[in-house]
Amino acid sequence: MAENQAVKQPLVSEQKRTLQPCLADFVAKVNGTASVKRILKGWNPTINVQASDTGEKFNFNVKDSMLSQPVVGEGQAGHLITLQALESVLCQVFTGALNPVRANLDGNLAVFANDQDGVKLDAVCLVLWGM
Amino acid sequence: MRAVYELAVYVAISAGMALTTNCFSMIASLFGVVSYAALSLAIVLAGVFCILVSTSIAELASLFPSAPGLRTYLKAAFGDYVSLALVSLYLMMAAMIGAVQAYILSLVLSDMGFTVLPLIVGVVTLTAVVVLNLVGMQMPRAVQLIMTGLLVAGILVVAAFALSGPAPSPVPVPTVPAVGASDLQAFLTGISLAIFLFIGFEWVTPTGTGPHAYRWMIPLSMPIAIGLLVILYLAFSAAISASLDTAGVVNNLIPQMALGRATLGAVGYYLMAFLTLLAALASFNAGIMAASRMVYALSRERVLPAWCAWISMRSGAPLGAILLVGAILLTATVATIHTGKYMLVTVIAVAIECLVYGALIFATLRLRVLRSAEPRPFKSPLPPLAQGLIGLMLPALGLGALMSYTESPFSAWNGFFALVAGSLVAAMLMRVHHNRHKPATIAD
Repeated sequence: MAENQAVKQPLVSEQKRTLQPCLADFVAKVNGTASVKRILKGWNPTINVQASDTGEKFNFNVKDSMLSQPVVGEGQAGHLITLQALESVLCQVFTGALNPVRANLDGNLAVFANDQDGVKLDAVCLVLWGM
Repeated sequence: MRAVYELAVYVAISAGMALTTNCFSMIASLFGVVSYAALSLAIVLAGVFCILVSTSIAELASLFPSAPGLRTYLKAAFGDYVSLALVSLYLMMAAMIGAVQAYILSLVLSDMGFTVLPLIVGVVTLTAVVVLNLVGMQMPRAVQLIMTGLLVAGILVVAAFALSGPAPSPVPVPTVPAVGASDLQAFLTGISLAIFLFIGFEWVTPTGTGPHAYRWMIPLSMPIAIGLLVILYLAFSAAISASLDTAGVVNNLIPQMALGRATLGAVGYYLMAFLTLLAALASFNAGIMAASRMVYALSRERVLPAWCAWISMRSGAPLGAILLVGAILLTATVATIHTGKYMLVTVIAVAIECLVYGALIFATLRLRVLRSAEPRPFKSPLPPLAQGLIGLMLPALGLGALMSYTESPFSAWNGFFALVAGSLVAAMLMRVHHNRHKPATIAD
Protein backbone atom coordinates (compact mmCIF):
# COMPACT_ATOMS: atom_id res chain seq x y z
CA MET A 1 0.00 0.00 0.00
CA ALA A 2 2.83 2.36 0.83
CA GLU A 3 4.31 1.64 -2.60
CA ASN A 4 1.02 2.55 -4.17
CA GLN A 5 0.99 5.91 -2.45
CA ALA A 6 4.50 6.67 -3.53
CA VAL A 7 3.87 6.11 -7.22
CA LYS A 8 0.34 7.22 -7.93
CA GLN A 9 0.26 10.96 -7.47
CA PRO A 10 -2.98 12.81 -6.78
CA LEU A 11 -4.40 13.85 -10.15
CA VAL A 12 -5.69 17.36 -9.60
CA SER A 13 -5.21 19.05 -6.32
CA GLU A 14 -4.86 17.20 -3.08
CA GLN A 15 -8.23 16.67 -1.47
CA LYS A 16 -7.94 17.04 2.26
CA ARG A 17 -11.35 15.54 2.94
CA THR A 18 -11.68 11.95 3.91
CA LEU A 19 -13.79 9.49 2.01
CA GLN A 20 -16.85 9.24 4.23
CA PRO A 21 -17.91 12.92 4.04
CA CYS A 22 -17.26 12.89 0.28
CA LEU A 23 -19.59 9.92 -0.11
CA ALA A 24 -22.20 11.45 2.19
CA ASP A 25 -22.17 14.66 0.12
CA PHE A 26 -22.44 12.61 -3.07
CA VAL A 27 -25.44 10.68 -1.75
CA ALA A 28 -27.14 13.92 -0.70
CA LYS A 29 -26.48 15.50 -4.09
CA VAL A 30 -27.80 12.51 -6.03
CA ASN A 31 -30.90 12.21 -3.85
CA GLY A 32 -31.55 15.91 -4.29
CA THR A 33 -31.23 15.93 -8.09
CA ALA A 34 -34.46 15.02 -9.84
CA SER A 35 -32.88 14.36 -13.24
CA VAL A 36 -30.69 11.58 -11.82
CA LYS A 37 -33.76 9.61 -10.77
CA ARG A 38 -34.41 8.60 -14.37
CA ILE A 39 -31.02 6.92 -14.54
CA LEU A 40 -31.52 5.14 -11.24
CA LYS A 41 -35.01 3.87 -12.02
CA GLY A 42 -35.17 0.08 -11.91
CA TRP A 43 -31.47 -0.16 -11.02
CA ASN A 44 -30.72 -1.64 -7.59
CA PRO A 45 -27.05 -2.44 -7.10
CA THR A 46 -24.95 -2.25 -3.97
CA ILE A 47 -21.95 -0.03 -4.55
CA ASN A 48 -18.74 -0.84 -2.67
CA VAL A 49 -16.14 1.89 -2.40
CA GLN A 50 -12.66 0.81 -1.31
CA ALA A 51 -9.68 3.07 -0.64
CA SER A 52 -6.61 1.08 -1.61
CA ASP A 53 -4.21 3.19 0.46
CA THR A 54 -6.10 3.52 3.73
CA GLY A 55 -7.98 0.24 3.50
CA GLU A 56 -11.30 1.98 4.24
CA LYS A 57 -14.40 0.31 2.82
CA PHE A 58 -17.87 1.76 2.50
CA ASN A 59 -20.99 0.66 0.73
CA PHE A 60 -24.35 2.10 -0.17
CA ASN A 61 -27.42 0.75 -1.92
CA VAL A 62 -29.49 2.06 -4.78
CA LYS A 63 -33.18 1.42 -4.24
CA ASP A 64 -36.30 3.12 -5.58
CA SER A 65 -34.10 5.68 -7.36
CA MET A 66 -32.54 6.77 -4.06
CA LEU A 67 -29.12 6.14 -2.55
CA SER A 68 -28.85 4.93 1.02
CA GLN A 69 -26.40 6.53 3.42
CA PRO A 70 -22.90 5.05 3.09
CA VAL A 71 -22.02 2.56 5.81
CA VAL A 72 -18.70 1.11 6.79
CA GLY A 73 -17.85 -2.31 5.39
CA GLU A 74 -18.23 -4.34 2.24
CA GLY A 75 -21.70 -4.96 0.82
CA GLN A 76 -22.42 -8.58 0.01
CA ALA A 77 -25.66 -8.34 -1.94
CA GLY A 78 -26.12 -10.07 -5.32
CA HIS A 79 -25.77 -7.12 -7.68
CA LEU A 80 -22.43 -5.64 -6.66
CA ILE A 81 -20.37 -2.85 -8.12
CA THR A 82 -16.93 -2.21 -6.65
CA LEU A 83 -14.87 0.94 -7.04
CA GLN A 84 -11.28 0.89 -5.85
CA ALA A 85 -8.67 3.65 -5.88
CA LEU A 86 -6.55 5.84 -3.66
CA GLU A 87 -8.66 7.78 -1.19
CA SER A 88 -7.76 11.10 -2.83
CA VAL A 89 -8.85 9.79 -6.25
CA LEU A 90 -12.14 8.50 -4.86
CA CYS A 91 -12.81 11.84 -3.18
CA GLN A 92 -12.18 13.65 -6.46
CA VAL A 93 -14.47 11.28 -8.35
CA PHE A 94 -17.30 11.63 -5.83
CA THR A 95 -17.00 15.41 -5.69
CA GLY A 96 -16.96 15.92 -9.46
CA ALA A 97 -13.33 17.03 -9.64
CA LEU A 98 -12.29 14.06 -11.75
CA ASN A 99 -13.89 12.37 -14.74
CA PRO A 100 -14.32 8.73 -13.62
CA VAL A 101 -13.94 7.28 -17.11
CA ARG A 102 -10.69 9.11 -17.57
CA ALA A 103 -9.49 7.91 -14.18
CA ASN A 104 -10.37 4.35 -15.21
CA LEU A 105 -8.60 4.71 -18.56
CA ASP A 106 -5.52 6.04 -16.82
CA GLY A 107 -5.54 3.07 -14.48
CA ASN A 108 -6.16 5.21 -11.39
CA LEU A 109 -9.67 3.95 -10.67
CA ALA A 110 -10.73 0.32 -10.86
CA VAL A 111 -14.41 -0.22 -11.65
CA PHE A 112 -15.57 -3.80 -11.20
CA ALA A 113 -18.95 -3.79 -12.88
CA ASN A 114 -20.56 -4.92 -16.07
CA ASP A 115 -20.48 -2.54 -19.04
CA GLN A 116 -23.92 -1.06 -18.50
CA ASP A 117 -23.44 -0.54 -14.77
CA GLY A 118 -20.22 1.29 -15.54
CA VAL A 119 -21.98 3.54 -18.04
CA LYS A 120 -24.84 4.20 -15.58
CA LEU A 121 -22.43 5.26 -12.87
CA ASP A 122 -20.71 7.56 -15.32
CA ALA A 123 -24.08 8.91 -16.45
CA VAL A 124 -24.84 9.96 -12.88
CA CYS A 125 -21.59 11.97 -12.83
CA LEU A 126 -22.43 13.44 -16.24
CA VAL A 127 -25.80 14.66 -15.04
CA LEU A 128 -24.47 15.98 -11.74
CA TRP A 129 -21.39 17.76 -13.04
CA GLY A 130 -21.68 17.75 -16.82
CA MET A 131 -18.01 16.91 -17.38
CA MET B 1 -17.04 -23.88 -5.68
CA ARG B 2 -17.70 -20.20 -6.22
CA ALA B 3 -14.10 -19.65 -7.32
CA VAL B 4 -14.32 -22.54 -9.77
CA TYR B 5 -17.53 -21.12 -11.27
CA GLU B 6 -15.97 -17.68 -11.57
CA LEU B 7 -12.87 -19.14 -13.23
CA ALA B 8 -15.10 -21.11 -15.62
CA VAL B 9 -16.89 -17.90 -16.59
CA TYR B 10 -13.58 -16.17 -17.38
CA VAL B 11 -12.46 -19.19 -19.40
CA ALA B 12 -15.77 -19.09 -21.29
CA ILE B 13 -15.40 -15.38 -22.03
CA SER B 14 -11.81 -15.80 -23.21
CA ALA B 15 -12.52 -18.89 -25.33
CA GLY B 16 -15.84 -17.55 -26.57
CA MET B 17 -14.27 -14.34 -27.86
CA ALA B 18 -11.64 -16.32 -29.78
CA LEU B 19 -13.89 -19.10 -31.04
CA THR B 20 -15.57 -17.50 -34.02
CA THR B 21 -17.05 -19.06 -37.13
CA ASN B 22 -13.98 -17.89 -39.05
CA CYS B 23 -11.82 -20.35 -37.14
CA PHE B 24 -13.27 -23.34 -38.99
CA SER B 25 -12.61 -21.66 -42.33
CA MET B 26 -9.05 -20.90 -41.27
CA ILE B 27 -8.37 -24.52 -40.35
CA ALA B 28 -9.66 -25.60 -43.75
CA SER B 29 -7.46 -23.00 -45.44
CA LEU B 30 -4.44 -24.26 -43.51
CA PHE B 31 -4.82 -27.64 -45.23
CA GLY B 32 -3.78 -25.79 -48.38
CA VAL B 33 -0.65 -24.40 -46.76
CA VAL B 34 0.85 -27.33 -44.88
CA SER B 35 0.31 -31.04 -44.43
CA TYR B 36 -2.01 -32.38 -41.74
CA ALA B 37 0.87 -33.21 -39.37
CA ALA B 38 2.46 -29.79 -39.83
CA LEU B 39 -0.94 -28.14 -39.42
CA SER B 40 -1.40 -29.83 -36.06
CA LEU B 41 2.05 -28.74 -34.94
CA ALA B 42 1.38 -25.19 -36.18
CA ILE B 43 -1.82 -25.03 -34.13
CA VAL B 44 0.01 -26.23 -31.01
CA LEU B 45 2.88 -23.77 -31.52
CA ALA B 46 0.52 -20.87 -32.20
CA GLY B 47 -1.31 -21.80 -28.99
CA VAL B 48 1.96 -21.87 -27.07
CA PHE B 49 2.86 -18.44 -28.48
CA CYS B 50 -0.50 -17.07 -27.38
CA ILE B 51 -0.13 -18.59 -23.90
CA LEU B 52 3.25 -16.88 -23.57
CA VAL B 53 1.70 -13.60 -24.75
CA SER B 54 -1.14 -14.08 -22.28
CA THR B 55 1.30 -14.02 -19.34
CA SER B 56 2.36 -10.49 -20.34
CA ILE B 57 -1.25 -9.40 -20.85
CA ALA B 58 -2.17 -10.87 -17.45
CA GLU B 59 0.62 -8.87 -15.83
CA LEU B 60 -0.71 -5.69 -17.45
CA ALA B 61 -4.24 -6.54 -16.34
CA SER B 62 -3.11 -7.06 -12.75
CA LEU B 63 -1.33 -3.70 -12.86
CA PHE B 64 -4.46 -1.98 -14.19
CA PRO B 65 -7.39 -4.14 -13.05
CA SER B 66 -10.69 -3.45 -14.85
CA ALA B 67 -9.10 -0.89 -17.17
CA PRO B 68 -10.21 -1.07 -20.81
CA GLY B 69 -7.19 -3.08 -21.89
CA LEU B 70 -5.20 -1.92 -24.85
CA ARG B 71 -5.86 1.80 -24.44
CA THR B 72 -4.67 1.90 -20.84
CA TYR B 73 -1.72 -0.45 -21.19
CA LEU B 74 -0.28 1.19 -24.29
CA LYS B 75 -0.93 4.73 -23.09
CA ALA B 76 0.89 4.05 -19.83
CA ALA B 77 3.81 2.46 -21.67
CA PHE B 78 4.19 4.44 -24.89
CA GLY B 79 2.08 7.57 -24.52
CA ASP B 80 -1.13 8.85 -25.99
CA TYR B 81 -0.36 8.86 -29.72
CA VAL B 82 0.97 5.29 -30.02
CA SER B 83 -1.89 4.07 -27.87
CA LEU B 84 -4.55 5.80 -29.98
CA ALA B 85 -2.99 4.55 -33.22
CA LEU B 86 -2.87 0.93 -32.06
CA VAL B 87 -6.37 1.09 -30.56
CA SER B 88 -7.69 2.43 -33.88
CA LEU B 89 -5.90 -0.34 -35.74
CA TYR B 90 -7.28 -2.92 -33.33
CA LEU B 91 -10.84 -1.67 -33.71
CA MET B 92 -10.47 -1.83 -37.51
CA MET B 93 -9.27 -5.41 -37.17
CA ALA B 94 -12.23 -6.28 -34.94
CA ALA B 95 -14.58 -4.83 -37.56
CA MET B 96 -12.88 -6.90 -40.27
CA ILE B 97 -13.24 -10.11 -38.29
CA GLY B 98 -16.90 -9.29 -37.64
CA ALA B 99 -17.40 -8.69 -41.35
CA VAL B 100 -15.92 -12.06 -42.25
CA GLN B 101 -18.21 -13.69 -39.66
CA ALA B 102 -21.24 -12.07 -41.24
CA TYR B 103 -20.05 -13.35 -44.63
CA ILE B 104 -19.64 -16.89 -43.31
CA LEU B 105 -23.03 -16.76 -41.64
CA SER B 106 -24.57 -15.83 -44.97
CA LEU B 107 -22.83 -18.81 -46.57
CA VAL B 108 -24.24 -21.14 -43.90
CA LEU B 109 -27.79 -19.94 -44.55
CA SER B 110 -27.27 -20.15 -48.29
CA ASP B 111 -25.94 -23.70 -47.91
CA MET B 112 -29.07 -24.60 -45.93
CA GLY B 113 -31.18 -23.61 -48.88
CA PHE B 114 -32.29 -20.15 -47.85
CA THR B 115 -32.24 -18.30 -51.13
CA VAL B 116 -31.35 -14.90 -49.82
CA LEU B 117 -28.58 -12.64 -50.94
CA PRO B 118 -25.51 -12.92 -48.67
CA LEU B 119 -25.48 -9.15 -48.38
CA ILE B 120 -29.02 -9.15 -46.98
CA VAL B 121 -28.18 -11.88 -44.44
CA GLY B 122 -25.11 -9.97 -43.26
CA VAL B 123 -26.91 -6.65 -43.00
CA VAL B 124 -30.02 -8.08 -41.29
CA THR B 125 -28.00 -10.09 -38.74
CA LEU B 126 -25.80 -7.17 -37.84
CA THR B 127 -28.72 -4.78 -37.63
CA ALA B 128 -30.55 -7.17 -35.32
CA VAL B 129 -27.57 -7.46 -32.97
CA VAL B 130 -27.06 -3.68 -33.00
CA VAL B 131 -30.74 -3.12 -32.17
CA LEU B 132 -30.54 -5.63 -29.28
CA ASN B 133 -27.56 -3.72 -27.94
CA LEU B 134 -29.32 -0.37 -28.40
CA VAL B 135 -32.27 -1.47 -26.29
CA GLY B 136 -29.82 -2.51 -23.62
CA MET B 137 -30.18 -6.28 -23.78
CA GLN B 138 -27.09 -7.76 -22.22
CA MET B 139 -26.23 -11.43 -22.25
CA PRO B 140 -25.83 -12.76 -18.70
CA ARG B 141 -22.50 -14.39 -17.96
CA ALA B 142 -24.16 -17.73 -17.27
CA VAL B 143 -25.64 -17.71 -20.78
CA GLN B 144 -22.23 -16.97 -22.25
CA LEU B 145 -20.82 -19.90 -20.30
CA ILE B 146 -23.56 -22.21 -21.60
CA MET B 147 -23.18 -21.06 -25.21
CA THR B 148 -19.42 -21.58 -25.21
CA GLY B 149 -19.87 -24.95 -23.53
CA LEU B 150 -22.43 -26.03 -26.13
CA LEU B 151 -20.19 -24.98 -28.96
CA VAL B 152 -17.14 -26.78 -27.60
CA ALA B 153 -19.13 -29.90 -26.72
CA GLY B 154 -20.88 -29.97 -30.10
CA ILE B 155 -17.64 -29.78 -32.05
CA LEU B 156 -15.98 -32.41 -29.86
CA VAL B 157 -18.95 -34.76 -30.32
CA VAL B 158 -18.87 -34.41 -34.10
CA ALA B 159 -15.10 -34.84 -34.08
CA ALA B 160 -15.39 -37.94 -31.87
CA PHE B 161 -17.90 -39.50 -34.27
CA ALA B 162 -15.68 -38.65 -37.20
CA LEU B 163 -12.64 -40.22 -35.61
CA SER B 164 -14.34 -43.31 -34.21
CA GLY B 165 -16.84 -43.94 -36.97
CA PRO B 166 -16.97 -47.43 -38.48
CA ALA B 167 -16.23 -46.35 -42.01
CA PRO B 168 -14.09 -43.31 -42.25
CA SER B 169 -14.62 -42.18 -45.79
CA PRO B 170 -12.21 -40.53 -48.09
CA VAL B 171 -8.62 -41.18 -47.24
CA PRO B 172 -6.94 -37.90 -46.42
CA VAL B 173 -4.83 -36.68 -49.27
CA PRO B 174 -2.33 -34.06 -48.21
CA THR B 175 -2.45 -31.17 -50.63
CA VAL B 176 1.20 -30.39 -50.07
CA PRO B 177 4.04 -32.68 -49.13
CA ALA B 178 5.03 -33.09 -45.50
CA VAL B 179 7.08 -30.29 -44.09
CA GLY B 180 10.78 -30.58 -44.69
CA ALA B 181 13.65 -28.16 -44.54
CA SER B 182 12.52 -26.47 -47.76
CA ASP B 183 9.01 -26.10 -46.39
CA LEU B 184 10.07 -24.07 -43.40
CA GLN B 185 8.51 -20.95 -44.83
CA ALA B 186 5.19 -22.72 -45.34
CA PHE B 187 5.35 -24.01 -41.79
CA LEU B 188 6.03 -20.53 -40.37
CA THR B 189 3.16 -19.22 -42.46
CA GLY B 190 1.01 -21.98 -40.96
CA ILE B 191 1.94 -20.84 -37.44
CA SER B 192 1.21 -17.19 -38.21
CA LEU B 193 -2.17 -18.04 -39.75
CA ALA B 194 -2.95 -20.35 -36.83
CA ILE B 195 -2.53 -17.38 -34.47
CA PHE B 196 -5.79 -16.16 -36.00
CA LEU B 197 -7.51 -19.07 -34.25
CA PHE B 198 -6.84 -17.48 -30.85
CA ILE B 199 -7.41 -13.80 -31.59
CA GLY B 200 -9.59 -12.22 -28.93
CA PHE B 201 -8.63 -14.38 -25.92
CA GLU B 202 -7.35 -11.21 -24.22
CA TRP B 203 -10.79 -9.54 -24.16
CA VAL B 204 -11.41 -11.20 -20.80
CA THR B 205 -9.07 -8.79 -18.99
CA PRO B 206 -11.55 -5.96 -18.24
CA THR B 207 -14.26 -8.32 -17.02
CA GLY B 208 -12.97 -9.15 -13.53
CA THR B 209 -15.64 -8.90 -10.85
CA GLY B 210 -13.23 -7.70 -8.17
CA PRO B 211 -9.56 -7.18 -7.30
CA HIS B 212 -9.31 -10.87 -6.36
CA ALA B 213 -9.91 -11.87 -9.99
CA TYR B 214 -6.60 -10.38 -11.10
CA ARG B 215 -4.44 -12.34 -8.67
CA TRP B 216 -4.79 -15.68 -10.39
CA MET B 217 -8.21 -16.21 -11.99
CA ILE B 218 -7.88 -14.02 -15.06
CA PRO B 219 -4.17 -14.84 -15.52
CA LEU B 220 -5.05 -18.55 -15.39
CA SER B 221 -8.23 -18.29 -17.45
CA MET B 222 -6.38 -17.28 -20.64
CA PRO B 223 -3.96 -20.25 -20.80
CA ILE B 224 -6.83 -22.62 -19.94
CA ALA B 225 -8.99 -21.12 -22.68
CA ILE B 226 -6.15 -21.30 -25.20
CA GLY B 227 -5.36 -24.89 -24.20
CA LEU B 228 -9.01 -25.81 -24.58
CA LEU B 229 -9.07 -24.21 -28.02
CA VAL B 230 -5.91 -26.08 -29.06
CA ILE B 231 -7.60 -29.37 -28.17
CA LEU B 232 -10.75 -28.32 -29.99
CA TYR B 233 -8.93 -27.26 -33.16
CA LEU B 234 -6.78 -30.40 -33.16
CA ALA B 235 -9.90 -32.53 -32.84
CA PHE B 236 -11.62 -30.57 -35.61
CA SER B 237 -8.67 -30.80 -38.01
CA ALA B 238 -8.23 -34.50 -37.24
CA ALA B 239 -11.92 -35.03 -37.97
CA ILE B 240 -11.63 -33.17 -41.28
CA SER B 241 -8.57 -35.17 -42.17
CA ALA B 242 -10.39 -38.43 -41.36
CA SER B 243 -13.73 -37.68 -42.96
CA LEU B 244 -13.27 -35.21 -45.79
CA ASP B 245 -11.12 -34.82 -48.83
CA THR B 246 -8.57 -32.31 -47.55
CA ALA B 247 -7.83 -31.09 -51.07
CA GLY B 248 -11.46 -30.22 -51.58
CA VAL B 249 -11.94 -28.63 -48.19
CA VAL B 250 -9.24 -25.98 -48.66
CA ASN B 251 -11.54 -23.47 -50.26
CA ASN B 252 -14.58 -24.44 -48.23
CA LEU B 253 -15.40 -21.53 -45.92
CA ILE B 254 -17.90 -23.61 -43.95
CA PRO B 255 -16.14 -26.98 -43.57
CA GLN B 256 -17.97 -27.65 -40.30
CA MET B 257 -21.18 -28.17 -42.28
CA ALA B 258 -19.62 -30.77 -44.55
CA LEU B 259 -18.04 -32.45 -41.53
CA GLY B 260 -21.35 -32.58 -39.69
CA ARG B 261 -23.05 -34.18 -42.67
CA ALA B 262 -20.21 -36.65 -43.27
CA THR B 263 -20.27 -37.88 -39.67
CA LEU B 264 -23.86 -37.66 -38.46
CA GLY B 265 -25.87 -37.08 -41.60
CA ALA B 266 -28.65 -34.50 -41.49
CA VAL B 267 -28.51 -34.33 -37.68
CA GLY B 268 -24.81 -33.45 -37.77
CA TYR B 269 -25.38 -30.94 -40.54
CA TYR B 270 -28.07 -29.04 -38.66
CA LEU B 271 -26.19 -29.35 -35.38
CA MET B 272 -23.20 -27.63 -36.95
CA ALA B 273 -25.46 -25.00 -38.52
CA PHE B 274 -27.00 -24.31 -35.12
CA LEU B 275 -23.59 -24.11 -33.44
CA THR B 276 -22.27 -21.80 -36.14
CA LEU B 277 -25.25 -19.51 -35.69
CA LEU B 278 -24.73 -19.59 -31.93
CA ALA B 279 -21.04 -18.75 -32.26
CA ALA B 280 -21.73 -15.92 -34.69
CA LEU B 281 -24.44 -14.29 -32.60
CA ALA B 282 -22.48 -14.65 -29.35
CA SER B 283 -19.33 -13.14 -30.78
CA PHE B 284 -21.22 -10.39 -32.64
CA ASN B 285 -22.90 -9.41 -29.40
CA ALA B 286 -19.76 -9.59 -27.28
CA GLY B 287 -17.69 -7.82 -29.94
CA ILE B 288 -20.12 -4.94 -30.34
CA MET B 289 -20.42 -4.58 -26.56
CA ALA B 290 -16.66 -4.51 -26.04
CA ALA B 291 -15.90 -2.21 -28.98
CA SER B 292 -18.68 0.23 -28.07
CA ARG B 293 -17.42 0.36 -24.49
CA MET B 294 -14.01 1.39 -25.85
CA VAL B 295 -15.53 4.01 -28.16
CA TYR B 296 -17.64 5.37 -25.28
CA ALA B 297 -14.57 5.65 -23.06
CA LEU B 298 -12.61 7.42 -25.82
CA SER B 299 -15.46 9.86 -26.23
CA ARG B 300 -15.61 10.57 -22.50
CA GLU B 301 -11.87 11.10 -22.70
CA ARG B 302 -12.70 13.67 -25.39
CA VAL B 303 -10.60 12.10 -28.11
CA LEU B 304 -13.79 11.21 -30.01
CA PRO B 305 -16.78 13.52 -30.57
CA ALA B 306 -19.22 13.99 -27.70
CA TRP B 307 -22.09 12.31 -29.56
CA CYS B 308 -20.24 8.97 -29.24
CA ALA B 309 -20.93 9.21 -25.47
CA TRP B 310 -24.68 9.59 -25.98
CA ILE B 311 -26.30 7.10 -23.62
CA SER B 312 -29.71 5.72 -22.80
CA MET B 313 -30.75 7.05 -19.40
CA ARG B 314 -33.01 4.04 -18.92
CA SER B 315 -30.79 1.12 -19.84
CA GLY B 316 -27.32 2.64 -19.65
CA ALA B 317 -26.58 1.47 -23.19
CA PRO B 318 -23.97 3.66 -24.91
CA LEU B 319 -26.19 4.46 -27.91
CA GLY B 320 -23.80 6.73 -29.82
CA ALA B 321 -20.91 4.30 -29.49
CA ILE B 322 -23.05 1.30 -30.51
CA LEU B 323 -24.30 3.16 -33.58
CA LEU B 324 -20.76 4.13 -34.60
CA VAL B 325 -19.42 0.59 -34.10
CA GLY B 326 -22.46 -0.82 -35.92
CA ALA B 327 -21.93 1.55 -38.85
CA ILE B 328 -18.23 0.63 -39.14
CA LEU B 329 -19.05 -3.07 -38.91
CA LEU B 330 -21.78 -2.75 -41.50
CA THR B 331 -19.45 -0.95 -43.92
CA ALA B 332 -16.78 -3.62 -43.45
CA THR B 333 -19.40 -6.35 -43.93
CA VAL B 334 -20.73 -4.86 -47.14
CA ALA B 335 -17.18 -4.46 -48.48
CA THR B 336 -16.19 -8.02 -47.54
CA ILE B 337 -19.32 -9.65 -48.93
CA HIS B 338 -19.23 -7.51 -52.07
CA THR B 339 -15.58 -8.28 -52.86
CA GLY B 340 -15.53 -11.81 -51.42
CA LYS B 341 -11.93 -11.23 -50.32
CA TYR B 342 -12.28 -13.31 -47.18
CA MET B 343 -8.70 -14.53 -47.02
CA LEU B 344 -7.24 -11.09 -47.72
CA VAL B 345 -9.16 -9.66 -44.78
CA THR B 346 -8.07 -12.57 -42.60
CA VAL B 347 -4.32 -12.27 -43.25
CA ILE B 348 -4.45 -8.52 -42.65
CA ALA B 349 -6.23 -9.20 -39.34
CA VAL B 350 -3.50 -11.68 -38.39
CA ALA B 351 -0.78 -9.15 -39.19
CA ILE B 352 -2.50 -6.48 -37.09
CA GLU B 353 -3.01 -8.81 -34.15
CA CYS B 354 0.62 -9.96 -34.21
CA LEU B 355 1.72 -6.33 -34.19
CA VAL B 356 -0.56 -5.53 -31.26
CA TYR B 357 0.53 -8.60 -29.28
CA GLY B 358 4.17 -7.62 -29.85
CA ALA B 359 3.40 -4.09 -28.61
CA LEU B 360 1.73 -5.47 -25.48
CA ILE B 361 4.78 -7.56 -24.63
CA PHE B 362 7.06 -4.54 -24.94
CA ALA B 363 4.53 -2.51 -22.92
CA THR B 364 4.91 -5.04 -20.10
CA LEU B 365 8.68 -4.72 -20.17
CA ARG B 366 8.58 -0.92 -20.35
CA LEU B 367 6.12 -0.62 -17.48
CA ARG B 368 8.37 -2.74 -15.28
CA VAL B 369 10.80 0.19 -15.57
CA LEU B 370 8.32 3.09 -15.59
CA ARG B 371 6.11 1.76 -12.82
CA SER B 372 8.50 -0.54 -11.04
CA ALA B 373 7.19 0.30 -7.57
CA GLU B 374 3.54 -0.42 -8.27
CA PRO B 375 2.16 -3.71 -7.03
CA ARG B 376 1.50 -6.46 -9.54
CA PRO B 377 -0.61 -9.27 -8.11
CA PHE B 378 0.53 -11.32 -11.09
CA LYS B 379 3.89 -11.19 -12.84
CA SER B 380 4.81 -13.05 -16.02
CA PRO B 381 7.14 -15.93 -15.14
CA LEU B 382 9.05 -15.48 -18.42
CA PRO B 383 12.49 -13.90 -18.28
CA PRO B 384 12.59 -10.46 -19.97
CA LEU B 385 14.90 -11.71 -22.72
CA ALA B 386 12.43 -14.41 -23.70
CA GLN B 387 9.60 -11.89 -23.66
CA GLY B 388 11.62 -9.54 -25.87
CA LEU B 389 12.32 -12.32 -28.35
CA ILE B 390 8.64 -13.26 -28.53
CA GLY B 391 7.77 -9.59 -28.89
CA LEU B 392 10.07 -9.38 -31.92
CA MET B 393 8.95 -12.68 -33.42
CA LEU B 394 5.27 -11.80 -33.40
CA PRO B 395 5.41 -8.89 -35.88
CA ALA B 396 7.70 -11.04 -38.06
CA LEU B 397 5.05 -13.77 -38.07
CA GLY B 398 2.45 -11.17 -38.96
CA LEU B 399 4.49 -10.06 -41.96
CA GLY B 400 4.82 -13.72 -42.90
CA ALA B 401 1.04 -13.97 -42.93
CA LEU B 402 0.87 -11.04 -45.37
CA MET B 403 3.40 -12.74 -47.65
CA SER B 404 1.35 -15.93 -47.59
CA TYR B 405 -1.48 -14.27 -49.48
CA THR B 406 -0.54 -15.62 -52.87
CA GLU B 407 -3.54 -14.37 -54.84
CA SER B 408 -2.09 -10.89 -54.83
CA PRO B 409 0.66 -10.24 -52.26
CA PHE B 410 0.55 -6.54 -53.06
CA SER B 411 -3.10 -6.38 -52.00
CA ALA B 412 -2.23 -7.77 -48.58
CA TRP B 413 0.71 -5.40 -48.08
CA ASN B 414 -1.22 -2.45 -49.47
CA GLY B 415 -4.25 -3.24 -47.34
CA PHE B 416 -2.16 -3.61 -44.20
CA PHE B 417 -0.18 -0.43 -44.72
CA ALA B 418 -3.30 1.49 -45.72
CA LEU B 419 -4.87 0.50 -42.40
CA VAL B 420 -1.70 1.38 -40.48
CA ALA B 421 -1.61 4.77 -42.23
CA GLY B 422 -5.32 5.21 -41.54
CA SER B 423 -4.82 4.47 -37.85
CA LEU B 424 -1.94 6.96 -37.63
CA VAL B 425 -4.12 9.65 -39.22
CA ALA B 426 -7.04 8.70 -36.97
CA ALA B 427 -4.81 9.00 -33.90
CA MET B 428 -3.63 12.42 -35.06
CA LEU B 429 -7.22 13.60 -35.60
CA MET B 430 -8.24 12.29 -32.19
CA ARG B 431 -5.38 14.20 -30.58
CA VAL B 432 -6.42 17.36 -32.41
CA HIS B 433 -10.02 16.84 -31.26
CA HIS B 434 -8.84 16.31 -27.70
CA ASN B 435 -6.76 19.49 -27.70
CA ARG B 436 -9.71 21.51 -28.99
CA HIS B 437 -12.12 20.03 -26.47
CA LYS B 438 -10.24 20.08 -23.21
CA PRO B 439 -12.24 18.68 -20.34
CA ALA B 440 -13.82 21.31 -18.18
CA THR B 441 -11.89 21.68 -14.98
CA ILE B 442 -14.04 21.95 -11.93
CA ALA B 443 -12.62 24.22 -9.32
CA ASP B 444 -12.07 22.80 -5.88
